[in-house]
Amino acid sequence: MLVLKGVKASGGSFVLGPVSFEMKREYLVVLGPSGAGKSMLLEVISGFRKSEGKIFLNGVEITNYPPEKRRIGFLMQDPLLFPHKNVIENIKFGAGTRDISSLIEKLKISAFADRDVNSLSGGEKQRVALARALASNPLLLLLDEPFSWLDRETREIIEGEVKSIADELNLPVIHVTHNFEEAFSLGDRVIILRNGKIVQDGKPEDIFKNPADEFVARFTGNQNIYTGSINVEGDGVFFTNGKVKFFMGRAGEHKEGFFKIAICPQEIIISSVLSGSENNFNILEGVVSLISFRGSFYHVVMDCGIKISTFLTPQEAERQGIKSGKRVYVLIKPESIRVIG
Amino acid sequence: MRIVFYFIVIMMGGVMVFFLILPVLKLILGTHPSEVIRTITEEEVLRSIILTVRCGLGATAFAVVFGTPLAYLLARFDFRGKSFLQSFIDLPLVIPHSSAGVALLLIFGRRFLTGKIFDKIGISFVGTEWGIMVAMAFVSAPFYINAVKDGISSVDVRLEKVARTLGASPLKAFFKITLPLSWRSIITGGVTMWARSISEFGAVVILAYHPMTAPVLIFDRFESFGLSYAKPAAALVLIISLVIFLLIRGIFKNAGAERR
Repeated sequence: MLVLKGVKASGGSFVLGPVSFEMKREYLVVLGPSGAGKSMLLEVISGFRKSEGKIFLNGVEITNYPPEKRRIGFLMQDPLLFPHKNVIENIKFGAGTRDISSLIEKLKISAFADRDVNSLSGGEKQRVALARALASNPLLLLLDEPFSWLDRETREIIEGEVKSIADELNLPVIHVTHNFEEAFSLGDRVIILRNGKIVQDGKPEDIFKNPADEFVARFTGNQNIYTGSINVEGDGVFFTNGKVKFFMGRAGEHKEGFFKIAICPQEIIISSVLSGSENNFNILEGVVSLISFRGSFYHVVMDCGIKISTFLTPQEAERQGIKSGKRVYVLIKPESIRVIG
Repeated sequence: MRIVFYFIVIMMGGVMVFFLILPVLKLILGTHPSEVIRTITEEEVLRSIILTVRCGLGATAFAVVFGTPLAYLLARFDFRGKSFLQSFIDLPLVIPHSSAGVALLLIFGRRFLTGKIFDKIGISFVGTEWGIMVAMAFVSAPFYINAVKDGISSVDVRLEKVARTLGASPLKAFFKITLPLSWRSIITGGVTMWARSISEFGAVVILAYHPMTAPVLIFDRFESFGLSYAKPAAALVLIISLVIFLLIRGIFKNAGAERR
């Protein structure tokens, strides 16, 4: 188990932290834009950067341990294989007397185990780098966007393998990325970092549905962010911004005032017709202003006085005949409207 | 216009090439092989060549042992006064070597502290091989240090970091990763330094006229007996230096190509 208590580090004018969190045997993804301090955090955990605060690994304080004493595997953006050693020699570097044959088999390295590392493809190089890191029997594995430069298919295959091997070995992993889709698909838990500070920490679905603030909402792909007034009218609370009016719940459920709200795109329903059973929904009428195919789904933007975006499966889009210019009803549950600041 | 430009460049470059090659060729080709053979059989010449080669190797060995760590520091760390230190290391390249010899005499002469200390353990630098080595090392070490520094700088520092995450100490990371990846620079720097060492005259002659190194011997013969007497020795030393230099460069160039 890794514990960070008030960890603080700096580089130039940038300051990381204070950062505190605990992690168990899980796949933790640290998500953030460039310059958020993600790589610096990994440097601190691995011992390459001095820091204030305390770091514990499996109950032992390692704050002042040099990197070689920490038993923390580190995969950087480049595979960084030792160019004067072949594949096996690379993997054996930190293995000591440990048997590496099962690792080689598991990571499908056998076919090129005797090759010169300079002749390997990008995917093969990262497999070897991963095997090398795992062969040293680490207590924690750090991944600094190691697969971001691979093509999507290779990346997804290797990431899947990393996750299953980590599960099998009971190995906690901290994976740093700026890609929220990658973060949400891989992480058991996601920490969002911005300007060196943790902005949100939680399960991927919770972060996506309940972003802590506008930055998190936008960074995780939510474009449905609006600014307006929240007021009590009768026994209900309503959000208005001059263009739309949303029922948000009963009086007392929300504070009154001027706020930003976010609506999770996945919780928005589009319908061509109303069945009359939509009492619990805010209903907006609008026109599809943009529909773009994103591979496995459609991104649909509707103009309802405000722009609202959502995602549809190809089947659903076809069933409803969604196309640009089509008039639709947008259904939003009051609980799907979250105040974010 | 382009052709004129290239013509001018080639002509001007050609002048430089002739300037560098002609004296060497003239010395080698203008000396009859029998003169060279006769010279090589002279005991004084042979002894002087062996002495020069040996002292050059000694000076280079000194730089390898003490200069390599310094090159590593300069390549891997930023610290206050680094550029000042770098300038000092390069100083022997720009000062007159006779001045360097005088400066060394002030440190290693028997009347001065360092000289006295070494004298107590039986090492004297004036008129000895030790003095020759010190003079050679002083004026030639920058060639080695700079070559090795550049070589180490070209090795990605992250490779050392990776080695350390795999349990290697900084020392092990240096010997297992950095050194094997920069060995060519060490060899190139060493050969260059050795070649520079054996050709050193100015600093050597002030610390140790005797025993005579090859450059001092050539000077001595020129001063005492004139050009025709100095020429065969000069040609011989030049040929030997060239052969050894090209041989070592060739061997390590091929080894490097195979490794790649």
